[in-house]
Amino acid sequence: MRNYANPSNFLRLTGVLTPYLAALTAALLCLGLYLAWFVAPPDYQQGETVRIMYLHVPAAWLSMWIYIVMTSAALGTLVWRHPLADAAQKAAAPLGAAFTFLCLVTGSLWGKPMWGAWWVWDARLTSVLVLFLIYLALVALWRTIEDPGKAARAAAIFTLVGAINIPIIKFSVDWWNTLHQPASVFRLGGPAIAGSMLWPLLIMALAFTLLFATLHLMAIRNEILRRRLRRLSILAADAAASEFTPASASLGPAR
Amino acid sequence: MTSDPHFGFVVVAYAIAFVIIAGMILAILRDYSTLRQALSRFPAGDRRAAREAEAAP
Repeated sequence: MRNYANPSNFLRLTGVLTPYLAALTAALLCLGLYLAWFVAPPDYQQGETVRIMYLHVPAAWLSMWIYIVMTSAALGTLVWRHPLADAAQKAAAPLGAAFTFLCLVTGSLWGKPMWGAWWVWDARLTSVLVLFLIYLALVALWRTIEDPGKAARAAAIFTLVGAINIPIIKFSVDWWNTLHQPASVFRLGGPAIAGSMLWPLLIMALAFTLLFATLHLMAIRNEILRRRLRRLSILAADAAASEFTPASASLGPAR
Repeated sequence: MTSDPHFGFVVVAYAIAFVIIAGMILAILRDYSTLRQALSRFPAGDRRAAREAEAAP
């Protein structure tokens, strides 16, 4: 693991892995979409609307999973001071925001025909909205604090505090009386979904997870290059400043 | 399938998902290309020195 703390080694690994991960993601997405659209049956109550589930549920799982990844990276920054932990955390935040947004939008598009409302202030929906706002706040935090070291520490602390929302999202449907349905896949007693719907859902979830892994690697690579650019820009500015001494800028003695 | 009265909601959900995913991919690729272009303006020796400085503890 320490070996990949060296950014150059990490960039080499990313260069090798990314094409394979991208190809596998594309293949799984095609398979998942085929199963979701042409193999999975319509629901006996919800009809064709149930096909939104194959987007909504993987996006919802990922929105929480990405936050768990960011929490681990935050610990890596604060406790172990791993050199790439803050890059991993910074790279994951916009992806987490995008998947959470997808979860909220597809949920809304599923809720309108099923519940008769685009939105309700239900515990599950509200806690996911809070998660989306946390992701946006983290992205804003990194853009607001100029010193990357200070920004990384502030974001790590904020991420750890925000992690309290993850169990709230997961158990909101058990702790409160919600319009949102309770867990139907990861539950005691096994999944409550028929196998013909469960398999396409699991394949789509795997495809989304691989998509995140691919994009995350690519975004970490960008963060490493951004650091390198910053370092070079500072060195170039320092070199230019040392050349530009008051003596060299003098207009010479007045005549 | 298309005769379902709510089929439009399904199509819109998938269209939005496509736009969001394509947006993420394009944003990351564009960022990469911009960074590579900006880095290429620095001399190769400076870039090598920056890489070596990253590896230093």
